[in-house]
Amino acid sequence: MHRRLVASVLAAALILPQHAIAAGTEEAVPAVPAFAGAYQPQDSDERGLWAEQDEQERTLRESDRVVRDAELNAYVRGVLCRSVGQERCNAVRIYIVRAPMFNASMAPNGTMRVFTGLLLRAHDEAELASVLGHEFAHFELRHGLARYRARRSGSDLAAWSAVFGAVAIAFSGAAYTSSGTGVAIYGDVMRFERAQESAADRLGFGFMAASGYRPHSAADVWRAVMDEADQTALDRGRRSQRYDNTAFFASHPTSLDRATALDALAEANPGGDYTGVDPHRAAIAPHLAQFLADELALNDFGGTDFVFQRLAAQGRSAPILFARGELHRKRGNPRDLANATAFYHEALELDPAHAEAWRGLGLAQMRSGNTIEGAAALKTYLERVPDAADAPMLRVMIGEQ
Amino acid sequence: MKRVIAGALALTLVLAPTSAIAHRLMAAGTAAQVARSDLTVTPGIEWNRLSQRPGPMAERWTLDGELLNDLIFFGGVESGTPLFREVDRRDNPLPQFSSTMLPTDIPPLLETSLRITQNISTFEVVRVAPRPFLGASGVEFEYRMLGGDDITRQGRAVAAIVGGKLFMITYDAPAEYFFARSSADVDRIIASATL
Repeated sequence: MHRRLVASVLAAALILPQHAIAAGTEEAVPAVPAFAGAYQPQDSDERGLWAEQDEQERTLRESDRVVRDAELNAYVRGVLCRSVGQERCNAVRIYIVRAPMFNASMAPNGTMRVFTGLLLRAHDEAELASVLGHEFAHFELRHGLARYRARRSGSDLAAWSAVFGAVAIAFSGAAYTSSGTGVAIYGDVMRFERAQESAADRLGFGFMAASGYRPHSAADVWRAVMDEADQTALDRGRRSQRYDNTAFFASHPTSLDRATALDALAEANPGGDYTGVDPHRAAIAPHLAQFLADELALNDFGGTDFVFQRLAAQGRSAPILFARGELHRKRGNPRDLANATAFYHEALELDPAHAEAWRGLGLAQMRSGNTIEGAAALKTYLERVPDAADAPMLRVMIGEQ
Repeated sequence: MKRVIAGALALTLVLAPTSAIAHRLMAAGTAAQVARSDLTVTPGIEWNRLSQRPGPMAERWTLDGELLNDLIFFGGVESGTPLFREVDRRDNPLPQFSSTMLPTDIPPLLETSLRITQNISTFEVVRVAPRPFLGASGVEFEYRMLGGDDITRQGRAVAAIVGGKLFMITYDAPAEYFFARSSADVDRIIASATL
Protein backbone atom coordinates (compact mmCIF):
# COMPACT_ATOMS: atom_id res chain seq x y z
CA MET A 1 0.00 0.00 0.00
CA HIS A 2 1.70 3.12 -1.31
CA ARG A 3 4.86 1.73 0.22
CA ARG A 4 7.19 4.26 -1.29
CA LEU A 5 5.24 7.17 0.10
CA VAL A 6 5.11 5.39 3.43
CA ALA A 7 8.83 4.79 3.21
CA SER A 8 9.53 8.44 2.54
CA VAL A 9 7.28 9.55 5.37
CA LEU A 10 9.02 7.06 7.63
CA ALA A 11 12.37 8.35 6.46
CA ALA A 12 11.17 11.84 7.26
CA ALA A 13 10.10 10.70 10.70
CA LEU A 14 13.57 9.38 11.38
CA ILE A 15 15.01 12.83 10.93
CA LEU A 16 12.86 14.14 13.75
CA PRO A 17 14.05 13.84 17.33
CA GLN A 18 12.80 10.67 18.94
CA HIS A 19 12.03 10.39 22.61
CA ALA A 20 13.40 7.01 23.47
CA ILE A 21 11.14 6.06 26.30
CA ALA A 22 10.63 2.34 26.79
CA ALA A 23 7.30 0.93 25.69
CA GLY A 24 5.05 -0.40 28.37
CA THR A 25 5.06 0.31 32.04
CA GLU A 26 4.04 -1.86 34.90
CA GLU A 27 2.28 0.72 36.98
CA ALA A 28 -1.44 0.32 37.36
CA VAL A 29 -3.73 2.13 34.98
CA PRO A 30 -5.69 5.02 36.46
CA ALA A 31 -9.44 5.22 36.16
CA VAL A 32 -10.65 6.49 32.80
CA PRO A 33 -10.91 10.30 33.00
CA ALA A 34 -14.18 12.12 32.35
CA PHE A 35 -14.72 12.73 28.63
CA ALA A 36 -14.49 16.37 27.62
CA GLY A 37 -17.46 16.04 25.28
CA ALA A 38 -17.82 17.26 21.75
CA TYR A 39 -14.35 18.52 21.02
CA GLN A 40 -13.57 21.27 18.55
CA PRO A 41 -10.17 22.25 17.17
CA GLN A 42 -8.48 24.87 19.32
CA ASP A 43 -5.99 26.74 17.16
CA SER A 44 -4.89 27.22 13.57
CA ASP A 45 -2.69 24.10 13.55
CA GLU A 46 -5.50 21.94 14.72
CA ARG A 47 -8.09 23.57 12.45
CA GLY A 48 -5.79 22.96 9.48
CA LEU A 49 -5.34 19.33 10.45
CA TRP A 50 -9.07 18.84 10.81
CA ALA A 51 -9.78 20.46 7.46
CA GLU A 52 -7.35 18.04 5.83
CA GLN A 53 -8.91 15.07 7.60
CA ASP A 54 -12.44 16.23 6.74
CA GLU A 55 -11.47 16.34 3.08
CA GLN A 56 -10.06 12.81 3.27
CA GLU A 57 -13.16 11.60 5.07
CA ARG A 58 -15.39 12.94 2.26
CA THR A 59 -13.38 10.86 -0.25
CA LEU A 60 -13.45 7.83 2.03
CA ARG A 61 -17.21 8.09 2.53
CA GLU A 62 -17.77 7.76 -1.22
CA SER A 63 -15.29 4.94 -1.76
CA ASP A 64 -16.38 1.57 -3.09
CA ARG A 65 -13.87 -0.02 -0.77
CA VAL A 66 -15.95 0.81 2.29
CA VAL A 67 -18.04 -2.13 3.51
CA ARG A 68 -21.50 -0.72 4.13
CA ASP A 69 -23.23 -3.81 5.47
CA ALA A 70 -25.43 -2.43 8.29
CA GLU A 71 -25.10 -5.40 10.64
CA LEU A 72 -21.32 -5.60 10.43
CA ASN A 73 -21.05 -1.85 11.01
CA ALA A 74 -23.41 -2.07 13.98
CA TYR A 75 -21.30 -4.88 15.43
CA VAL A 76 -18.00 -2.98 15.16
CA ARG A 77 -19.58 0.16 16.57
CA GLY A 78 -21.06 -1.89 19.40
CA VAL A 79 -17.63 -3.24 20.35
CA LEU A 80 -16.09 0.24 20.28
CA CYS A 81 -18.98 1.71 22.30
CA ARG A 82 -18.80 -1.04 24.92
CA SER A 83 -15.06 -0.51 25.14
CA VAL A 84 -14.85 3.30 25.40
CA GLY A 85 -18.38 4.09 26.55
CA GLN A 86 -21.35 5.55 24.70
CA GLU A 87 -20.38 9.18 25.18
CA ARG A 88 -16.91 8.80 23.65
CA CYS A 89 -18.26 6.51 20.97
CA ASN A 90 -20.54 9.28 19.70
CA ALA A 91 -17.46 11.26 18.65
CA VAL A 92 -16.45 8.55 16.13
CA ARG A 93 -17.46 7.70 12.56
CA ILE A 94 -16.41 4.15 11.74
CA TYR A 95 -15.51 3.08 8.20
CA ILE A 96 -14.84 -0.60 7.52
CA VAL A 97 -12.29 -0.67 4.69
CA ARG A 98 -12.02 -3.80 2.58
CA ALA A 99 -8.33 -4.63 2.79
CA PRO A 100 -6.73 -7.93 3.84
CA MET A 101 -4.39 -6.42 6.40
CA PHE A 102 -4.30 -6.13 10.15
CA ASN A 103 -4.89 -2.45 10.65
CA ALA A 104 -7.06 0.15 12.31
CA SER A 105 -6.42 3.84 12.69
CA MET A 106 -8.12 6.92 13.94
CA ALA A 107 -7.70 10.37 12.44
CA PRO A 108 -7.66 13.47 14.65
CA ASN A 109 -11.12 14.54 13.43
CA GLY A 110 -12.76 11.34 14.66
CA THR A 111 -12.63 9.18 11.51
CA MET A 112 -11.93 5.58 12.45
CA ARG A 113 -10.78 3.15 9.77
CA VAL A 114 -11.10 -0.54 10.54
CA PHE A 115 -9.64 -2.94 7.96
CA THR A 116 -11.49 -6.15 7.21
CA GLY A 117 -8.19 -7.98 7.77
CA LEU A 118 -8.36 -6.95 11.43
CA LEU A 119 -11.91 -8.32 11.77
CA LEU A 120 -10.76 -11.64 10.29
CA ARG A 121 -7.66 -11.84 12.48
CA ALA A 122 -9.27 -10.86 15.77
CA HIS A 123 -10.13 -14.05 17.64
CA ASP A 124 -12.94 -12.45 19.61
CA GLU A 125 -14.57 -9.20 20.70
CA ALA A 126 -11.97 -8.56 23.39
CA GLU A 127 -9.09 -8.64 20.89
CA LEU A 128 -10.97 -6.28 18.57
CA ALA A 129 -11.88 -4.04 21.51
CA SER A 130 -8.25 -3.82 22.61
CA VAL A 131 -7.16 -2.55 19.18
CA LEU A 132 -10.07 -0.14 18.76
CA GLY A 133 -9.63 1.14 22.34
CA HIS A 134 -5.92 1.67 21.75
CA GLU A 135 -6.63 3.67 18.59
CA PHE A 136 -9.30 5.68 20.37
CA ALA A 137 -6.78 6.46 23.12
CA HIS A 138 -4.41 8.00 20.54
CA PHE A 139 -7.37 10.11 19.40
CA GLU A 140 -8.44 11.18 22.87
CA LEU A 141 -4.88 12.08 23.83
CA ARG A 142 -4.62 14.02 20.55
CA HIS A 143 -1.38 12.35 19.52
CA GLY A 144 -2.10 13.05 15.87
CA LEU A 145 -1.92 16.77 16.56
CA ALA A 146 1.36 16.44 18.45
CA ARG A 147 2.77 14.50 15.50
CA TYR A 148 1.50 17.12 13.04
CA ARG A 149 3.05 19.96 15.06
CA ALA A 150 6.32 18.11 15.34
CA ARG A 151 6.31 17.59 11.60
CA ARG A 152 5.51 21.25 10.94
CA SER A 153 7.91 22.89 13.32
CA GLY A 154 10.50 20.15 13.64
CA SER A 155 11.86 20.22 10.15
CA ASP A 156 10.95 21.64 6.80
CA LEU A 157 13.19 19.01 5.29
CA ALA A 158 10.87 16.30 6.53
CA ALA A 159 7.90 17.94 4.82
CA TRP A 160 9.81 18.44 1.59
CA SER A 161 11.14 14.91 1.47
CA ALA A 162 7.53 13.72 1.60
CA VAL A 163 6.75 15.95 -1.38
CA PHE A 164 9.72 14.67 -3.37
CA GLY A 165 8.79 11.13 -2.49
CA ALA A 166 5.42 11.75 -4.10
CA VAL A 167 7.01 13.38 -7.17
CA ALA A 168 9.34 10.43 -7.61
CA ILE A 169 6.40 8.05 -7.53
CA ALA A 170 4.46 10.10 -10.05
CA PHE A 171 7.27 9.63 -12.55
CA SER A 172 7.94 6.00 -11.77
CA GLY A 173 4.91 4.73 -13.63
CA ALA A 174 3.04 3.79 -10.49
CA ALA A 175 1.23 7.10 -10.28
CA TYR A 176 -2.13 5.94 -9.16
CA THR A 177 -0.98 3.56 -6.50
CA SER A 178 -0.03 6.34 -4.16
CA SER A 179 -2.55 8.99 -5.06
CA GLY A 180 -4.31 11.21 -2.56
CA THR A 181 -7.24 8.85 -2.97
CA GLY A 182 -5.17 6.02 -1.54
CA VAL A 183 -4.25 8.07 1.51
CA ALA A 184 -7.87 9.13 1.98
CA ILE A 185 -9.10 5.54 1.92
CA TYR A 186 -6.36 3.70 3.76
CA GLY A 187 -5.50 6.55 6.09
CA ASP A 188 -2.37 8.54 6.63
CA VAL A 189 0.59 7.08 8.42
CA MET A 190 0.82 8.81 11.77
CA ARG A 191 3.92 7.33 13.28
CA PHE A 192 3.56 7.49 17.02
CA GLU A 193 6.41 7.70 19.46
CA ARG A 194 7.13 5.30 22.27
CA ALA A 195 5.94 7.72 24.94
CA GLN A 196 2.65 8.13 23.07
CA GLU A 197 2.31 4.35 22.74
CA SER A 198 2.74 3.96 26.48
CA ALA A 199 0.14 6.64 27.18
CA ALA A 200 -2.30 5.05 24.71
CA ASP A 201 -1.68 1.63 26.27
CA ARG A 202 -2.48 2.99 29.73
CA LEU A 203 -5.71 4.63 28.62
CA GLY A 204 -6.56 1.63 26.43
CA PHE A 205 -6.24 -0.70 29.40
CA GLY A 206 -8.36 1.72 31.40
CA PHE A 207 -11.11 1.23 28.78
CA MET A 208 -10.71 -2.56 28.88
CA ALA A 209 -10.91 -2.61 32.67
CA ALA A 210 -13.94 -0.35 32.80
CA SER A 211 -15.81 -2.36 30.17
CA GLY A 212 -15.14 -5.85 31.50
CA TYR A 213 -13.12 -7.14 28.52
CA ARG A 214 -10.34 -9.63 29.25
CA PRO A 215 -7.16 -7.49 29.47
CA HIS A 216 -4.77 -10.24 28.29
CA SER A 217 -6.47 -10.20 24.89
CA ALA A 218 -4.48 -7.06 24.10
CA ALA A 219 -1.24 -9.03 24.37
CA ASP A 220 -2.69 -12.01 22.49
CA VAL A 221 -3.65 -10.04 19.40
CA TRP A 222 -0.31 -8.25 19.39
CA ARG A 223 1.60 -11.53 19.63
CA ALA A 224 -0.46 -13.12 16.84
CA VAL A 225 0.27 -10.29 14.43
CA MET A 226 3.98 -10.41 15.21
CA ASP A 227 3.94 -14.19 14.68
CA GLU A 228 2.23 -13.64 11.34
CA ALA A 229 4.93 -11.18 10.28
CA ASP A 230 7.55 -13.74 11.35
CA GLN A 231 5.92 -16.45 9.25
CA THR A 232 5.76 -14.15 6.22
CA ALA A 233 9.47 -13.44 6.63
CA LEU A 234 10.40 -17.06 7.28
CA ASP A 235 8.54 -18.21 4.20
CA ARG A 236 10.47 -15.67 2.15
CA GLY A 237 13.73 -16.98 3.46
CA ARG A 238 14.69 -14.25 5.86
CA ARG A 239 14.60 -13.55 9.55
CA SER A 240 12.26 -11.02 11.01
CA GLN A 241 12.95 -8.86 13.99
CA ARG A 242 11.17 -5.86 12.58
CA TYR A 243 7.50 -5.47 12.08
CA ASP A 244 7.10 -2.20 10.24
CA ASN A 245 6.11 -4.02 7.05
CA THR A 246 2.81 -4.81 8.72
CA ALA A 247 0.45 -1.92 8.06
CA PHE A 248 -0.45 -1.50 11.71
CA PHE A 249 3.14 -1.50 12.91
CA ALA A 250 4.16 1.08 10.34
CA SER A 251 2.48 3.58 12.64
CA HIS A 252 3.06 1.82 15.95
CA PRO A 253 6.71 1.27 16.80
CA THR A 254 7.03 -2.10 18.39
CA SER A 255 9.48 -4.70 19.49
CA LEU A 256 9.51 -8.30 20.55
CA ASP A 257 8.99 -7.40 24.19
CA ARG A 258 5.95 -5.32 23.46
CA ALA A 259 3.57 -8.23 23.98
CA THR A 260 5.39 -8.98 27.22
CA ALA A 261 4.95 -5.37 28.30
CA LEU A 262 1.26 -5.59 27.46
CA ASP A 263 0.97 -8.81 29.46
CA ALA A 264 2.56 -7.05 32.42
CA LEU A 265 0.08 -4.20 32.09
CA ALA A 266 -2.77 -6.70 31.87
CA GLU A 267 -1.47 -8.39 35.01
CA ALA A 268 -1.48 -5.10 36.88
CA ASN A 269 -5.07 -4.38 35.93
CA PRO A 270 -8.10 -6.33 36.99
CA GLY A 271 -10.46 -5.91 34.02
CA GLY A 272 -13.04 -8.58 33.39
CA ASP A 273 -13.06 -11.97 31.75
CA TYR A 274 -15.45 -11.29 28.88
CA THR A 275 -14.01 -12.33 25.51
CA GLY A 276 -17.11 -12.63 23.28
CA VAL A 277 -15.96 -15.36 20.91
CA ASP A 278 -19.41 -16.34 19.68
CA PRO A 279 -20.78 -12.86 18.93
CA HIS A 280 -17.58 -12.09 17.03
CA ARG A 281 -17.81 -15.24 14.91
CA ALA A 282 -21.50 -14.67 14.26
CA ALA A 283 -20.83 -11.10 13.08
CA ILE A 284 -18.03 -12.20 10.74
CA ALA A 285 -19.77 -15.34 9.41
CA PRO A 286 -21.74 -13.71 6.54
CA HIS A 287 -18.50 -12.11 5.25
CA LEU A 288 -16.07 -14.92 6.02
CA ALA A 289 -15.84 -16.31 2.48
CA GLN A 290 -15.12 -12.83 1.10
CA PHE A 291 -12.52 -11.99 3.75
CA LEU A 292 -10.75 -15.31 3.18
CA ALA A 293 -10.76 -14.80 -0.60
CA ASP A 294 -9.18 -11.36 -0.15
CA GLU A 295 -6.36 -12.90 1.92
CA LEU A 296 -5.82 -15.56 -0.77
CA ALA A 297 -5.20 -12.88 -3.38
CA LEU A 298 -2.06 -11.79 -1.53
CA ASN A 299 1.12 -13.56 -2.53
CA ASP A 300 2.07 -14.40 1.05
CA PHE A 301 1.90 -18.13 1.68
CA GLY A 302 3.58 -18.05 5.09
CA GLY A 303 1.56 -15.20 6.59
CA THR A 304 -1.76 -16.31 5.12
CA ASP A 305 -1.18 -19.91 6.23
CA PHE A 306 -0.55 -18.64 9.75
CA VAL A 307 -3.77 -16.62 9.76
CA PHE A 308 -5.76 -19.60 8.45
CA GLN A 309 -4.18 -21.96 10.98
CA ARG A 310 -5.08 -19.62 13.82
CA LEU A 311 -8.67 -19.54 12.52
CA ALA A 312 -8.68 -23.33 12.10
CA ALA A 313 -7.63 -23.73 15.73
CA GLN A 314 -11.00 -22.27 16.71
CA GLY A 315 -12.79 -25.34 15.40
CA ARG A 316 -13.32 -27.21 12.14
CA SER A 317 -15.12 -25.08 9.59
CA ALA A 318 -15.76 -25.77 5.91
CA PRO A 319 -15.01 -22.21 4.67
CA ILE A 320 -11.62 -22.24 6.42
CA LEU A 321 -10.70 -25.74 5.23
CA PHE A 322 -11.69 -24.67 1.72
CA ALA A 323 -9.54 -21.54 2.00
CA ARG A 324 -6.55 -23.61 3.14
CA GLY A 325 -7.08 -25.85 0.12
CA GLU A 326 -7.12 -22.82 -2.16
CA LEU A 327 -3.94 -21.44 -0.58
CA HIS A 328 -2.05 -24.68 -1.19
CA ARG A 329 -3.48 -25.17 -4.68
CA LYS A 330 -2.44 -21.66 -5.59
CA ARG A 331 1.19 -22.31 -4.67
CA GLY A 332 0.91 -25.41 -6.80
CA ASN A 333 3.93 -27.58 -5.90
CA PRO A 334 3.10 -31.29 -6.20
CA ARG A 335 3.02 -31.64 -2.38
CA ASP A 336 0.82 -28.52 -2.15
CA LEU A 337 -1.67 -30.07 -4.55
CA ALA A 338 -1.79 -33.23 -2.41
CA ASN A 339 -2.39 -31.13 0.72
CA ALA A 340 -5.02 -29.07 -1.10
CA THR A 341 -6.85 -32.24 -2.12
CA ALA A 342 -6.94 -33.36 1.52
CA PHE A 343 -8.29 -29.98 2.68
CA TYR A 344 -11.05 -29.99 0.03
CA HIS A 345 -12.06 -33.54 1.00
CA GLU A 346 -12.26 -32.48 4.65
CA ALA A 347 -14.30 -29.38 3.77
CA LEU A 348 -16.72 -31.52 1.75
CA GLU A 349 -17.03 -33.98 4.63
CA LEU A 350 -18.20 -31.13 6.85
CA ASP A 351 -20.34 -29.43 4.23
CA PRO A 352 -21.17 -31.52 1.16
CA ALA A 353 -23.03 -28.54 -0.29
CA HIS A 354 -19.82 -26.47 -0.57
CA ALA A 355 -19.78 -26.27 -4.39
CA GLU A 356 -16.52 -24.28 -4.61
CA ALA A 357 -14.72 -27.09 -2.78
CA TRP A 358 -15.69 -29.45 -5.64
CA ARG A 359 -14.14 -26.98 -8.06
CA GLY A 360 -10.93 -26.73 -6.04
CA LEU A 361 -10.75 -30.48 -5.65
CA GLY A 362 -11.19 -31.02 -9.38
CA LEU A 363 -8.58 -28.42 -10.34
CA ALA A 364 -6.04 -29.69 -7.80
CA GLN A 365 -6.40 -33.21 -9.15
CA MET A 366 -6.28 -32.09 -12.78
CA ARG A 367 -3.06 -30.21 -12.11
CA SER A 368 -1.65 -33.25 -10.33
CA GLY A 369 -2.34 -35.29 -13.44
CA ASN A 370 -5.28 -37.27 -11.99
CA THR A 371 -7.52 -36.25 -14.85
CA ILE A 372 -10.26 -38.84 -14.29
CA GLU A 373 -10.91 -37.96 -10.64
CA GLY A 374 -10.42 -34.30 -11.47
CA ALA A 375 -12.96 -34.35 -14.26
CA ALA A 376 -15.47 -36.12 -12.00
CA ALA A 377 -15.14 -33.47 -9.29
CA LEU A 378 -15.42 -30.63 -11.82
CA LYS A 379 -18.50 -32.29 -13.27
CA THR A 380 -20.10 -32.28 -9.83
CA TYR A 381 -19.21 -28.59 -9.51
CA LEU A 382 -20.77 -27.78 -12.89
CA GLU A 383 -23.93 -29.64 -11.92
CA ARG A 384 -24.17 -27.51 -8.78
CA VAL A 385 -23.22 -24.19 -10.42
CA PRO A 386 -24.03 -24.59 -14.13
CA ASP A 387 -23.66 -20.87 -14.87
CA ALA A 388 -20.35 -20.30 -13.05
CA ALA A 389 -18.13 -17.61 -14.58
CA ASP A 390 -15.59 -20.21 -15.68
CA ALA A 391 -18.09 -22.92 -16.70
CA PRO A 392 -17.31 -22.65 -20.45
CA MET A 393 -13.58 -23.21 -19.76
CA LEU A 394 -14.14 -26.04 -17.29
CA ARG A 395 -16.46 -27.88 -19.72
CA VAL A 396 -13.71 -27.93 -22.30
CA MET A 397 -11.13 -29.02 -19.73
CA ILE A 398 -13.19 -32.08 -18.80
CA GLY A 399 -13.95 -32.87 -22.44
CA GLU A 400 -17.63 -32.07 -22.35
CA GLN A 401 -17.43 -29.78 -25.33
CA MET B 1 17.57 24.69 2.39
CA LYS B 2 15.88 26.70 -0.36
CA ARG B 3 18.68 25.97 -2.81
CA VAL B 4 18.43 22.27 -2.14
CA ILE B 5 14.71 22.37 -2.84
CA ALA B 6 15.11 24.49 -5.97
CA GLY B 7 17.83 22.15 -7.19
CA ALA B 8 15.72 19.10 -6.61
CA LEU B 9 12.76 20.70 -8.37
CA ALA B 10 14.92 21.62 -11.37
CA LEU B 11 16.24 18.08 -11.48
CA THR B 12 12.73 16.65 -11.58
CA LEU B 13 11.80 18.99 -14.42
CA VAL B 14 14.85 17.94 -16.39
CA LEU B 15 14.28 14.25 -15.80
CA ALA B 16 10.59 14.21 -16.62
CA PRO B 17 10.71 14.97 -20.38
CA THR B 18 13.65 12.64 -21.13
CA SER B 19 11.63 9.57 -20.25
CA ALA B 20 8.78 10.86 -22.39
CA ILE B 21 10.95 11.17 -25.50
CA ALA B 22 11.32 7.43 -25.87
CA HIS B 23 7.60 6.74 -26.23
CA ARG B 24 6.81 5.67 -29.75
CA LEU B 25 3.86 5.94 -32.09
CA MET B 26 2.81 2.58 -33.52
CA ALA B 27 1.50 3.12 -37.05
CA ALA B 28 -1.89 1.83 -38.16
CA GLY B 29 -1.83 -1.19 -40.47
CA THR B 30 1.84 -1.96 -39.90
CA ALA B 31 2.82 -5.24 -38.25
CA ALA B 32 4.87 -4.72 -35.11
CA GLN B 33 6.93 -7.18 -33.09
CA VAL B 34 6.13 -6.70 -29.43
CA ALA B 35 7.52 -7.52 -26.00
CA ARG B 36 10.98 -8.59 -27.16
CA SER B 37 9.52 -11.70 -28.70
CA ASP B 38 8.22 -13.11 -31.95
CA LEU B 39 4.71 -12.05 -30.98
CA THR B 40 3.53 -9.82 -33.82
CA VAL B 41 0.40 -7.68 -33.96
CA THR B 42 -1.06 -5.26 -36.47
CA PRO B 43 -3.00 -2.34 -34.97
CA GLY B 44 -5.96 -0.93 -36.90
CA ILE B 45 -5.40 2.58 -35.54
CA GLU B 46 -2.40 4.43 -34.15
CA TRP B 47 -1.33 3.44 -30.63
CA ASN B 48 1.39 4.77 -28.34
CA ARG B 49 4.03 2.41 -27.05
CA LEU B 50 5.23 3.51 -23.62
CA SER B 51 8.98 3.47 -23.12
CA GLN B 52 9.00 1.91 -19.68
CA ARG B 53 8.48 -1.83 -19.88
CA PRO B 54 6.10 -3.16 -17.23
CA GLY B 55 8.10 -6.37 -17.15
CA PRO B 56 11.16 -7.92 -18.79
CA MET B 57 8.96 -9.79 -21.29
CA ALA B 58 6.21 -7.19 -21.49
CA GLU B 59 5.29 -4.09 -23.44
CA ARG B 60 2.64 -1.48 -22.76
CA TRP B 61 0.52 0.38 -25.33
CA THR B 62 -2.06 3.07 -24.73
CA LEU B 63 -4.27 5.55 -26.58
CA ASP B 64 -4.91 8.22 -23.95
CA GLY B 65 -2.50 7.20 -21.17
CA GLU B 66 -2.24 3.94 -19.25
CA LEU B 67 -4.82 5.00 -16.68
CA LEU B 68 -7.44 5.33 -19.41
CA ASN B 69 -6.54 2.39 -21.67
CA ASP B 70 -3.84 -0.04 -20.75
CA LEU B 71 -2.90 -2.68 -23.32
CA ILE B 72 -0.11 -5.02 -22.24
CA PHE B 73 1.62 -7.71 -24.28
CA PHE B 74 3.45 -10.53 -22.54
CA GLY B 75 5.81 -12.20 -24.97
CA GLY B 76 6.75 -15.55 -23.50
CA VAL B 77 6.99 -15.30 -19.73
CA GLU B 78 9.12 -18.23 -18.58
CA SER B 79 8.16 -20.67 -15.88
CA GLY B 80 9.36 -19.44 -12.49
CA THR B 81 9.31 -15.75 -13.40
CA PRO B 82 6.74 -13.03 -12.63
CA LEU B 83 4.60 -11.21 -15.19
CA PHE B 84 5.76 -7.75 -14.17
CA ARG B 85 8.89 -6.10 -12.92
CA GLU B 86 9.20 -6.58 -9.14
CA VAL B 87 8.11 -3.51 -7.17
CA ASP B 88 9.33 -4.73 -3.80
CA ARG B 89 10.95 -8.13 -4.12
CA ARG B 90 11.90 -8.36 -0.47
CA ASP B 91 8.63 -7.50 1.23
CA ASN B 92 6.00 -7.95 -1.44
CA PRO B 93 7.26 -10.30 -4.15
CA LEU B 94 5.19 -11.01 -7.25
CA PRO B 95 3.68 -14.42 -7.93
CA GLN B 96 5.42 -16.48 -10.60
CA PHE B 97 4.06 -18.13 -13.69
CA SER B 98 4.43 -21.89 -13.88
CA SER B 99 4.23 -23.93 -17.06
CA THR B 100 2.12 -26.53 -15.20
CA MET B 101 -0.67 -23.99 -14.64
CA LEU B 102 -4.15 -24.80 -15.89
CA PRO B 103 -6.04 -22.20 -17.98
CA THR B 104 -8.11 -21.36 -14.87
CA ASP B 105 -4.93 -20.49 -12.95
CA ILE B 106 -4.11 -17.54 -15.21
CA PRO B 107 -6.80 -15.09 -13.92
CA PRO B 108 -5.69 -15.44 -10.25
CA LEU B 109 -2.06 -15.01 -11.38
CA LEU B 110 -3.00 -11.72 -13.07
CA GLU B 111 -5.11 -10.67 -10.07
CA THR B 112 -2.35 -11.06 -7.51
CA SER B 113 0.17 -9.43 -9.87
CA LEU B 114 -2.09 -6.40 -10.31
CA ARG B 115 -2.78 -6.17 -6.59
CA ILE B 116 0.91 -5.77 -5.99
CA THR B 117 1.93 -3.67 -8.99
CA GLN B 118 -1.15 -1.44 -9.31
CA ASN B 119 -2.61 -1.64 -5.83
CA ILE B 120 -6.01 -2.79 -7.03
CA SER B 121 -8.31 -3.72 -4.18
CA THR B 122 -10.94 -5.92 -5.78
CA PHE B 123 -10.81 -8.22 -8.79
CA GLU B 124 -13.87 -10.10 -9.97
CA VAL B 125 -13.61 -12.62 -12.78
CA VAL B 126 -16.73 -12.29 -14.90
CA ARG B 127 -16.10 -14.95 -17.52
CA VAL B 128 -13.46 -17.57 -18.40
CA ALA B 129 -13.82 -19.34 -21.74
CA PRO B 130 -11.65 -21.31 -24.16
CA ARG B 131 -10.23 -19.42 -27.14
CA PRO B 132 -7.65 -20.51 -29.69
CA PHE B 133 -4.69 -18.13 -29.51
CA LEU B 134 -1.41 -18.22 -31.44
CA GLY B 135 -2.25 -21.64 -32.78
CA ALA B 136 -2.66 -23.10 -29.30
CA SER B 137 -5.73 -23.85 -27.20
CA GLY B 138 -5.84 -20.66 -25.19
CA VAL B 139 -8.07 -19.00 -22.67
CA GLU B 140 -9.98 -15.76 -22.72
CA PHE B 141 -11.21 -14.04 -19.57
CA GLU B 142 -13.02 -10.88 -18.54
CA TYR B 143 -12.79 -9.10 -15.22
CA ARG B 144 -13.75 -6.02 -13.25
CA MET B 145 -11.47 -4.42 -10.72
CA LEU B 146 -11.35 -1.47 -8.38
CA GLY B 147 -8.10 0.44 -8.76
CA GLY B 148 -5.99 2.15 -6.16
CA ASP B 149 -7.55 5.38 -7.42
CA ASP B 150 -11.02 4.04 -6.52
CA ILE B 151 -12.02 3.83 -10.19
CA THR B 152 -13.74 0.69 -11.47
CA ARG B 153 -11.95 -0.76 -14.47
CA GLN B 154 -13.11 -3.43 -16.84
CA GLY B 155 -10.58 -5.77 -18.35
CA ARG B 156 -10.14 -8.67 -20.68
CA ALA B 157 -7.27 -10.96 -21.55
CA VAL B 158 -6.32 -13.67 -24.00
CA ALA B 159 -3.58 -16.11 -23.08
CA ALA B 160 -1.95 -19.32 -24.19
CA ILE B 161 0.97 -21.40 -23.00
CA VAL B 162 3.21 -22.09 -25.98
CA GLY B 163 6.33 -24.17 -25.48
CA GLY B 164 6.04 -23.78 -21.70
CA LYS B 165 5.98 -19.98 -21.94
CA LEU B 166 3.05 -17.68 -21.30
CA PHE B 167 1.90 -15.41 -24.11
CA MET B 168 -0.84 -13.02 -23.10
CA ILE B 169 -2.51 -9.77 -24.13
CA THR B 170 -4.40 -7.86 -21.43
CA TYR B 171 -6.50 -4.74 -21.85
CA ASP B 172 -8.13 -2.72 -19.12
CA ALA B 173 -9.81 0.66 -19.02
CA PRO B 174 -12.30 2.54 -16.82
CA ALA B 175 -15.63 0.70 -17.03
CA GLU B 176 -17.33 3.98 -17.74
CA TYR B 177 -16.95 4.95 -21.41
CA PHE B 178 -13.30 4.06 -22.06
CA PHE B 179 -13.46 0.26 -21.99
CA ALA B 180 -16.24 -0.01 -24.55
CA ARG B 181 -14.91 2.80 -26.73
CA SER B 182 -11.68 1.01 -27.63
CA SER B 183 -12.84 -2.58 -27.32
CA ALA B 184 -13.16 -3.06 -31.10
CA ASP B 185 -9.64 -1.72 -31.66
CA VAL B 186 -8.31 -4.19 -29.09
CA ASP B 187 -10.29 -7.00 -30.76
CA ARG B 188 -8.52 -6.24 -33.96
CA ILE B 189 -5.09 -6.34 -32.34
CA ILE B 190 -5.84 -9.65 -30.61
CA ALA B 191 -7.16 -11.15 -33.84
CA SER B 192 -4.02 -10.07 -35.68
CA ALA B 193 -1.63 -11.68 -33.19
CA THR B 194 0.73 -14.28 -34.61
CA LEU B 195 3.84 -15.99 -33.37
